[in-house]
Amino acid sequence: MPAYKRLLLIAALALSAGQTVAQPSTASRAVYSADGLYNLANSYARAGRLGLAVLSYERAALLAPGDADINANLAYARARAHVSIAPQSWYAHLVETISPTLAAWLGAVGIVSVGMGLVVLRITTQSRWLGRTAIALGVVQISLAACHALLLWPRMQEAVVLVDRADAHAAPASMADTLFVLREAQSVRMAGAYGTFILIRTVGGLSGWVARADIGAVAPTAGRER
Amino acid sequence: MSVTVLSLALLLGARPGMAGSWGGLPYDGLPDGAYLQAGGTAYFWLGIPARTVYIGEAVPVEIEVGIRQGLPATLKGLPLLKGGDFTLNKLDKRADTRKTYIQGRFFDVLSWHTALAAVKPGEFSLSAGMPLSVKTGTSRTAARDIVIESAPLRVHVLALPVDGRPRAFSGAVGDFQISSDISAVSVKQGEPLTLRLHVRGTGNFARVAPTMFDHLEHWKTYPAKSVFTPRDAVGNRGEEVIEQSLIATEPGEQWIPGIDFSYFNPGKRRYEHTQTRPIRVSVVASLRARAPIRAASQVAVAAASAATVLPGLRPDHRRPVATHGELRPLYFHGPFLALCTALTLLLSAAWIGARPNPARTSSKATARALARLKLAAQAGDSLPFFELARKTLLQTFAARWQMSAEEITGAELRARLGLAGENIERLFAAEDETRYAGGASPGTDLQYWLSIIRGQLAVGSR
Repeated sequence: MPAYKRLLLIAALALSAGQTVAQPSTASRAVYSADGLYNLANSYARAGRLGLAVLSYERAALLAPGDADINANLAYARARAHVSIAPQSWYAHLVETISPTLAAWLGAVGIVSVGMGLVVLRITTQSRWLGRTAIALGVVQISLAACHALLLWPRMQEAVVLVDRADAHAAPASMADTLFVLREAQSVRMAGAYGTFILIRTVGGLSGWVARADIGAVAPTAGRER
Repeated sequence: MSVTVLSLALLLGARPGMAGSWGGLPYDGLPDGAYLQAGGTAYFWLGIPARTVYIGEAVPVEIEVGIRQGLPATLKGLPLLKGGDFTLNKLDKRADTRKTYIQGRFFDVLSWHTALAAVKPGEFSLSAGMPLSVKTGTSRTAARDIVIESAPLRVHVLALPVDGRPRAFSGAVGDFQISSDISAVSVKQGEPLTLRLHVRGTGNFARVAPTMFDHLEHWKTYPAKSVFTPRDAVGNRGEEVIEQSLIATEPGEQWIPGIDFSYFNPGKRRYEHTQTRPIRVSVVASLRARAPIRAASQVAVAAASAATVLPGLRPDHRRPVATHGELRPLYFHGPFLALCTALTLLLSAAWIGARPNPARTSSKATARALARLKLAAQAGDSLPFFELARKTLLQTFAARWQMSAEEITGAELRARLGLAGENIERLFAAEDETRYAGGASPGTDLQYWLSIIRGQLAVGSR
């Protein structure tokens, strides 16, 4: 079989496989919208419920990281709650310039690009520059997506305190000693769970068990709102 | 005797036979802590399950009054708590009645089941009294009013803890669950909606007063109303439904925030906080509101009100532009990772399946070998020429025929190449002769052999 026919066949197979696998996600029911979450967060902020406001802004920022309104109101709500945040690093700013969805598709296209480039190099000695260019481009795209995912991964474990004050206990029991107290709208990192308690870590490195109802996960898994 | 029982039943609207049996005459005796009074003719008993309670906690109470049969007495009211340290739920006028046998005498027993709650912390004595009127003679006026009292109970009332008290706590004490629903999720602008909050559970529902919305951006709010439906006789378990009417004032996608509800759980000795899910409502603009001027003025009013409430907060977005099934980024979704894995496997299979063309792969090496042969021919170096020619030809034939170079024999060459095969055999023989002659091969036309070699290699590259 001629080389170009092989390439066409492989491309057609890859395309059909992609469509088959992608169908469930496109058919799933849409629930969130960045603007809807932003408006909800505004409602909470006006009602003085800053924990819920910050949580909703954080969720909106996950869907639209570069949105200036979301980021401005998030900073505003945190300031009102007197919650300090760590200054953003340069790579966090980089993450905000690309939407997660775009980064994901870049990664997928990168996989195809690398694969096709390798196949081209294997089956022909002509136009080897084409194969090498495709591989280089694909590697860059995959690296970009992987870096994006790595940088965003910590936010998947992030949670926001929703109540006035949340006691962090030494053990996952309400009667256990209180180690420290978290304030509303404070961001923490979830490190584990036991029953109705979540093991959290603060930005300052403190750890303790907090009641699950007192915090809300920024990126809840499907079917769990809080 | 029967007259007295009849008078009690008539006075209280009693329900005979609710407990015990009139026919079997069971011997129940006095309840624990009760004692006979009025010369052994009556007793009053107050029973509570716990002696340490929290303020506002609904404590089930059992009240029992026993009057000896034959005593010409009538009840002058319902049992009353003594002192103002506790509140008692309203008693049902229809008491449960039964008959019991105490110390050789039959007693008519009236009982009530209700709940009480403490109003302030401290150590208190809890007792109750029951007014009775007892006939002392045969005339109608010969009667004496007496009060039979329960034995005092020591009750320790704890204050609700201050630490950890949620902002949304409004005094509810018990164990509750909440949920909310709305009459419609899509309405026209100006149409009323009913937001319902359901509070179910066990506890003091008199203190359940969750905060509904006094003010809600883009909504006109109305005072809430509540209805309680008890699930037991005491009213300690049931469901309270709080309804609030809302009217959307802005078109578009509107969110009704979740409702907070905090309560103190005396069983777990801590405050608990729960919240309903936010509700999304699609509000379709009414015809009047669609007029551009009106819409513009509404936007201005909304922006102005928002600015008034919270200066510095950027205004709402008008139209949601994108929707997502999950908050987690696409590259953490299972289906997307499956797609990437499938693509990787597919392309790996394609890479493994695509065999490189051996002739093309060796074309560069062949070109290099030909160049070296040409140089050797021009220089007249016979032995290096023949050695290189043999090696190059055998490698080329081996790649072309998919076999190893050692397997290529003279018969194989003749069978595959015909007349050209004989030429190749002669070339190999010339190499052997040159080697035996110590490298000297005078008169050999290396250019002739070079043209034969070129011809064979060219066949392979076509």
